[in-house]
Amino acid sequence: MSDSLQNKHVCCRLGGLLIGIDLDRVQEINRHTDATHVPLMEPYLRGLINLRGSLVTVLDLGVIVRGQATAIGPKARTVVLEMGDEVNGLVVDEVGDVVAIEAGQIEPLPSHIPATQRRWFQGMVQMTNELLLLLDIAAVNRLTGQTQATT
Amino acid sequence: MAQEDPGLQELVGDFVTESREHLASVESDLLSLEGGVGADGDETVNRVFRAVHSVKGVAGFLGLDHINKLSHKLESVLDLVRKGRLDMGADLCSVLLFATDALRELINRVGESNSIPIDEPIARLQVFLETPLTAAVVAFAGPSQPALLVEADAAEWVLAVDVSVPRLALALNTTPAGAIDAIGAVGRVVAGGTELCPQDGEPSREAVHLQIVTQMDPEAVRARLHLEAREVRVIKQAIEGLMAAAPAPTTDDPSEALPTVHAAVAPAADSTSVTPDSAPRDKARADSGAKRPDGAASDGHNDSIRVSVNLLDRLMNLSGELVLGRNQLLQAHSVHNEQGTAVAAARLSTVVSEMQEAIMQTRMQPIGSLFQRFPRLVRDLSGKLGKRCRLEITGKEVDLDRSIIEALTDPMTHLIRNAVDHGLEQPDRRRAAGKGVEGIIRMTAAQQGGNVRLEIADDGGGINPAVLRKKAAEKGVITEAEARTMSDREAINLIFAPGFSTAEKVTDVSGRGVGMDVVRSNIEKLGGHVEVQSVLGRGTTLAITIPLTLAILPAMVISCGPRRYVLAQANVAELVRVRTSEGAAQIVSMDGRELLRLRGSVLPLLRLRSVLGEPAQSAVGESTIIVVENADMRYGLVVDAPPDAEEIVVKPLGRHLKQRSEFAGATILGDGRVAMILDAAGIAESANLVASQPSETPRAADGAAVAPENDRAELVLFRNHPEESFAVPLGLVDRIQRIDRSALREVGGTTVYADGERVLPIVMIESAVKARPAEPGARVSVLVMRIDKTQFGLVAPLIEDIRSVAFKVDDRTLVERGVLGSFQLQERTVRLLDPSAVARFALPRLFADVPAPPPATAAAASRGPTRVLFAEDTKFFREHVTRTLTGAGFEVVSAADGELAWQELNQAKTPFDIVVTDVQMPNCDGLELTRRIRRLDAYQKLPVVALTSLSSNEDETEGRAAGVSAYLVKLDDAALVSAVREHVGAKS
Repeated sequence: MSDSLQNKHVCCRLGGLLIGIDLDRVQEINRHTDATHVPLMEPYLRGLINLRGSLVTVLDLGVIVRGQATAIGPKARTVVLEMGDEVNGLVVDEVGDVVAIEAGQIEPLPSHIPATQRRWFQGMVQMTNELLLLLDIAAVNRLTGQTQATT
Repeated sequence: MAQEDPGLQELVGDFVTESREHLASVESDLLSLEGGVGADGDETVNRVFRAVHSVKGVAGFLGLDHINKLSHKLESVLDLVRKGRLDMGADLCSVLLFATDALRELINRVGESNSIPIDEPIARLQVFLETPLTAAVVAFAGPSQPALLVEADAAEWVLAVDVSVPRLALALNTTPAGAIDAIGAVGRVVAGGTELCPQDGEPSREAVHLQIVTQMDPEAVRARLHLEAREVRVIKQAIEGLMAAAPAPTTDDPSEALPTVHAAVAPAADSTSVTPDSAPRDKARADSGAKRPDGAASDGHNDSIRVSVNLLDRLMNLSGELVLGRNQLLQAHSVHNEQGTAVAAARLSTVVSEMQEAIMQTRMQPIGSLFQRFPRLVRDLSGKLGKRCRLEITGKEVDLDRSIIEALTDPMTHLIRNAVDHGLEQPDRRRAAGKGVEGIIRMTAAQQGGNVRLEIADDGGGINPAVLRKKAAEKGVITEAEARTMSDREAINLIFAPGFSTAEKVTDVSGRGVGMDVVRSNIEKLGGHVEVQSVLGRGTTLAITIPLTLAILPAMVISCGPRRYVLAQANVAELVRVRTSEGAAQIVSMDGRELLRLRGSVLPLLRLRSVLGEPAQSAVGESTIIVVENADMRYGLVVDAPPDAEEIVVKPLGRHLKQRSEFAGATILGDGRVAMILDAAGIAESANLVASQPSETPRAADGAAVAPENDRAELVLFRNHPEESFAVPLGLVDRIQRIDRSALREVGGTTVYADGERVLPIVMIESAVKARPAEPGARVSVLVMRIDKTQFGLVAPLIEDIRSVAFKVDDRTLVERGVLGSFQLQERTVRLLDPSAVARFALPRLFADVPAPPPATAAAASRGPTRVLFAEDTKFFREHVTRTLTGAGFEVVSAADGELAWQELNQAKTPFDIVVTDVQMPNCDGLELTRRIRRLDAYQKLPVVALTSLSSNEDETEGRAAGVSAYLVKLDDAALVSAVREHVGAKS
């Protein structure tokens, strides 16, 4: 555990993808999936939630990564994390285990992943049954509310 | 180590906070003194003196030598002023301000203050000290120490006092802090404040060796402090003009280690009591003073505020109540006592609201804390620019939330700079304009309901709309066509356009292209708005309206589909409910845009659902319309249901959601759900509504053929037959009504419409002018107009638009009785109707009693015809009115703008009997012309009739204030003729 090259990631399911979010950046994971919709906004903006008195903007990771709105099922969760100087929420289909990943495990993304998706990930880890894509939080954070999320 | 001593740090922190307050008041007092010592001048000098004195006193105790020395020097100079030996001139004031600044710098960097050089301020102050003969410098030296200079007035004693603070406290029956106070009251401590003489190494009997400069003789000091004779020694006697140099029997060598006493002279009763605890021996006293860390205090920011003890007590009581309420609630809940729960909840609710109010109160600060920095700014700026300027401040006591005060600092500073730099003229120009050489800037704060109104008014040259138009067009902010057709008020508002600087030349003071647009957006961020008013030659006023507090906002909660939105109550002018059955009459649709008719005025109407991109609401029996008001814009907003009132807390939006101007923020409602806050101005902006006009204006200019000499007027455009368009000046229309054609009755050869109890005569266009008859339709619009105080309705089957139109009238081709001319608009020919001629022709009996132009009265005839001076910039109106007035038997001289009219008036050989003027004109508008006229005694009784294309009460009030005798709508010819007659008659 003292290995500084080791990093913990929260595994989140998003459609058929397994996505890892850096645990250090995660503030909490909650069932606050009923964000108040804000009209006139980019589709990737899910809305606002009231997190114990402060407002948190929630982004739909499904729209950003897959171009498809996340359907809110019973297992859906909002991952609240620090992004830049703001705290934002990311809606995902399901949250799974926390895995420790060593730097040496991280591989470049396979070439069949389209560029529109590649830009959101910093690398890939081979798990037993599937591939874990590591979310590039900085890339998500570059969304400004003006630019199209998926083009 | 001293820097690790938290008690000492606390003392230094208190000292810094207090000293800042003292210095802030010193600065404003000095500036008020510079203007001449007025009635309370002596008191002001004393106040400054006391403030510096207390800074010095505490600094002495804390071993802050540089602060002590500088403040002492400052005090010495002030003392001379106080005693009338020095006059408070501009030179002295500058030096005092300079020294105050240096002192503030020392205090802001208190930790390193002893290493900051203070030679320059000392030297500059010394100049004033050397002038009077009575000041004396006393030099004395201890047995083993180099000469130490102590300055004292000749009339003062310098005493060496040995005193033990605990013993003194006992003798005076007070606390140690009180004892130190008592020493401070005797005189000023010039040396030894930090020194402590241990006797027998016994800390409980610690005695301080002090040097005190005082006006009391040693005996009085002894008596006052209950000291024994041996404890007070005379270093210098108080003898006028005597230079005494007595070696002081000081015992301590500063290089030798000495313990330090930590104490503060407590100036206010409320401040914490100070216990002079002894610190360990400190090898390097001077150094420890220099290195005293004080992070919080040294960065110049105020991160602590003062709260009155009363308020704190109230909060304490309330928190007690809160606990009590909670206990009651828990108890009632645990035994399922429903009634008890309700009672406890009600009680809690009251306590919480009171508590909220009290907590808000702690955030309120008088705006004076913001204002007090401006006299200095104005003084320095005007000096730099070679201008003379006086700042008059009223309303310092108005309280505002401290976050707002902070946020206002930059915009207000900018506005003040602007006022001095651009607003006020150079003294020679002021003299030439007949004004006082000294410019005046008035700064006013006043509370108005939940808002505070701040005004910055200068009496300078005002803003020249012509220059702004030209500049804006050059910079591409507006098009040439817009520049030509823009009203003066719109032109003046150009100063808020992004990237538009009003500076004719860039100075280092202001005017680098960023400016008023930033000011405006900053103020709007605070939920306020800013307006500008300017009269050329008379000055400019900027008015800021801002809510008292940002934190809590009274608001309306509006449902829209599944969600709720919030609109600040400040933006809600009224609520209107329209039943669908009446809706058709109150809501009119024109060219896809909806308008709301409300008590005779017409407002643009927006539907919240379509603004927010929600699907339209299915038909309901009744619509609720919020009349939204923001700065100078009004519009109707259709919402699903009547809104509820709620107090909300505004929360900022994250950067993803900031992009849309429709939203000002978000809030959490009572049930915990999030609701977006609507931005009244942003909604209007995204819907392309233009401020200050009830209907849209600028796009019309593009549609119309832009010819060199365009006229501009607010017109109602309508069609009688699909291929025939007409226009009527909006100013003549009282209201527009939709009626069933079947409700029109033919009575005695006249068509009438029974509108309640009144009977309205109705005119069909085709009965008065050559026009194809209207196509039959079940419902028609009727323009209700008033000619000569008689109302009639003109049938306008299909209203196309109501807007300001720029047009070039062809007054030859299609002219007939009732038609003034025609113009081209979007490839159609529109005929401009003359409603008064139409009415006279179509309803001859109704208007028969209007007196025909009678020959001039006998009295007038003997003097020749009535001479009218007529100012109007648009050719069409100029010719039309000239014709009308000439036809009525007057002699008319017309001028193309106010400036030319003014020249005409002053050059005329035969005096004019009356002036008729358009209101909006380039160069010199009608109101300015009127003001010029009223300024001259000879013209005091000259009647002035103002003509406008659209009258509002506000305009009329402004006109009356300028001195207009009558205010008329353009093209109401009959009213004009009778007004001219009436006023000329009244005059002669």
